[in-house]
Amino acid sequence: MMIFKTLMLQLYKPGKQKRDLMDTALLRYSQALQFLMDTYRNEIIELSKSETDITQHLILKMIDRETAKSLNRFDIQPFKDSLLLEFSAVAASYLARRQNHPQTGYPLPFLDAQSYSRAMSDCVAQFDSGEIGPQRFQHRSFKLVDKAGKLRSVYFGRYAMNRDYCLLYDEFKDRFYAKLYLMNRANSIPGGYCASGLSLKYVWDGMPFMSNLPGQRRYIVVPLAFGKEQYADLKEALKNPRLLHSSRLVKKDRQYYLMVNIECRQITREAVTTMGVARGVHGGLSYTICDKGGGVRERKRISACRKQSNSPDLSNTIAEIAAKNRAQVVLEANGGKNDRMPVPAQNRELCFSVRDYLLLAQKLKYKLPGKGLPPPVEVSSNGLFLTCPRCGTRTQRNRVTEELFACIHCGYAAEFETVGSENLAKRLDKYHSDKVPITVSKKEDGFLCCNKILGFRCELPPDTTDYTPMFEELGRFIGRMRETYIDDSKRYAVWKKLAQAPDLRKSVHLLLR
Amino acid sequence: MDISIETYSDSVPKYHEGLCDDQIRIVRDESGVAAILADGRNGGARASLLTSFAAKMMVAMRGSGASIDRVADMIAESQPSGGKKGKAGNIAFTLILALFDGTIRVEQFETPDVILLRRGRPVELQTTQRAVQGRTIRSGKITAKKADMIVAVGNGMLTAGKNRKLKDGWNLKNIETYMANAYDSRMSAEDPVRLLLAAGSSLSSGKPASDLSALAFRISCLRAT
Repeated sequence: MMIFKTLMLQLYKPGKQKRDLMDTALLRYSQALQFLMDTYRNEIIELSKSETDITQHLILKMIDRETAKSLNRFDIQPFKDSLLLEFSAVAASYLARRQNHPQTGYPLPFLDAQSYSRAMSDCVAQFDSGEIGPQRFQHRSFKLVDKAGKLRSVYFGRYAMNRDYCLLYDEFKDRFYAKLYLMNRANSIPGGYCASGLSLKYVWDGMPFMSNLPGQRRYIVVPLAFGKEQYADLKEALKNPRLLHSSRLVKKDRQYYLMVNIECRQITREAVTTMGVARGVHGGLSYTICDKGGGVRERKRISACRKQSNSPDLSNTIAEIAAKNRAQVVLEANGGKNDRMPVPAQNRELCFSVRDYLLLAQKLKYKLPGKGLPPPVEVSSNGLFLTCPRCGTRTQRNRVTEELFACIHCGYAAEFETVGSENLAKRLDKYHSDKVPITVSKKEDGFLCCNKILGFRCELPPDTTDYTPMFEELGRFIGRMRETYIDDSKRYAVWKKLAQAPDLRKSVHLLLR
Repeated sequence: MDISIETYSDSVPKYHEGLCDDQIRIVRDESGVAAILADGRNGGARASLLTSFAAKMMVAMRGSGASIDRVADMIAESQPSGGKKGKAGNIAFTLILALFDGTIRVEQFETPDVILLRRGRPVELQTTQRAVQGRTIRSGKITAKKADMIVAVGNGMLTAGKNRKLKDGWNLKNIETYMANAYDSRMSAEDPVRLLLAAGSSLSSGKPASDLSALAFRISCLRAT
């Protein structure tokens, strides 16, 4: 999975002409996007009634040649492809959101003065006729006021030398510049020899020089300002320009920024500990960090309540703790459904729901690799809070009270708060130490050794005491399976365990019947 | 009714102390089995001596045929005066006598109530109180039934979960529930003791703040007469 981060690069002191050109581009782009949204309003609303998933590709196919041609009146030829992509993305996300929230309003990328007054009077009329209540009216009118006149950022869908945008580098001054294609041929500006003493090279494979010949230009070149971290990332991009992807031109507080999406290099460090992250009984999450041997290194609760966890993000906290301990994060699969977490009545509202936990797992899937750690492992959460972390006994009788866990088999006792995360942290070790069972049953003509998951069968002569022939046959069986594609994940897991085992005898458990 | 009595006891000393101040002695004779769990309270050499003395006193008196209440009175009377309740210099004890005819007598002084499990369910043991030199001794008497289990713990066991984030801690009620959960008809007397000590040790994170001790009687019927 590729991991991206966004570099926020300021366009450093653009002159009046460049500012005007950028403002014009932002306005035209916003108008064109709103035009598309208005044109296909009925079709998109119709699509929202269908129960099938609507892809961006399907929405793109909806745009006919005539409409695409009519977009030219906005002079958006330099970013037409990007505009169409953004339109399909906005429409698709609206449709996806509407499936879960039917009240979702139709997107309004840009509201000019006319559209604003029309939309506002519609809203007032609906309120007067009683179609919408006061709360809905307030919400809509606030939204309209917020949107009025706000320009949409210009999206550059690709990194290219002669269209959309690209970065330039002056190696003598060690400065970076942005080359932005904002005008069509009709609006191009004349450009002469540049006498600034710049020696600009494209941030591109082979670093070619930028042509400085006089002529009509459809682009502007603007110096960039940024901090140390961004500088390091740009230096990295100089070595490997393919890391640079799409970007956006944004105007914020009279300043212009280029938000560049850059691919992060994935350097995965080997995990030395395991970190189990479970839903917390008293709200938030609890985590346990275990050494490879299973010794508990750290055990804590992350946030006290759900409200806290929603503000900034718990996934960042977990990623930081995991990075600090170089931990392999282990999570509950399916959002912790059936984990049998005992929730006291007073904590019911504070606890992490299955949906919250699923969202967290989704975020960690890219945040952990961003920190150089392997992605999280999700393991079955069935009866997680009723399973003893020490001996693995899983029974309802391990629950003494709502807050106290005590194993009826080995005597391990702890607060419920920690049991879930400790079980998760130790689960990988348990998987590794678990042996593959092979059932040995007595038949009339000897013994039959079999494993149903693998589909392995081996017959041994009667009165045998030495299982060496069976292990030899198993070794050959595992070897033969290496050449075939194993479709069943369970079967693959068992095969992999045996295939990687240095000694089959130590990885197999014989069940005598 | 003739019964068979199985007993087991064990202790875990306080963290960083080699010797356990709690003393447990089990004496078996032709009439039945008697056991004492003498709790050294907050530890120290004096408590250690007193618990050893109490245990030896019980062994000697039972040997000479003294009744269990007499033994309890003697131990209570022999305690040095001046020791405050809950402080070092005073010991607590639980005496249990199970006779083969099915009679079970319990004498307790400042120790947690014994847990009686009847077919796995906790049953309240009715007790009476008497004062001996200003000290209150609780005594109870029951007739044993098949698969009865009697579990006694020292005061240290109740302090095991005090550093944990538990609202009620590891109190007697929780211990009773745990024992009821763990009960199995094939359980030996050793099992509840092993489980309780493991749970106490686990709740203390392997570093008990005071001695953990437990004593269990397991009754099974041989034949009804």
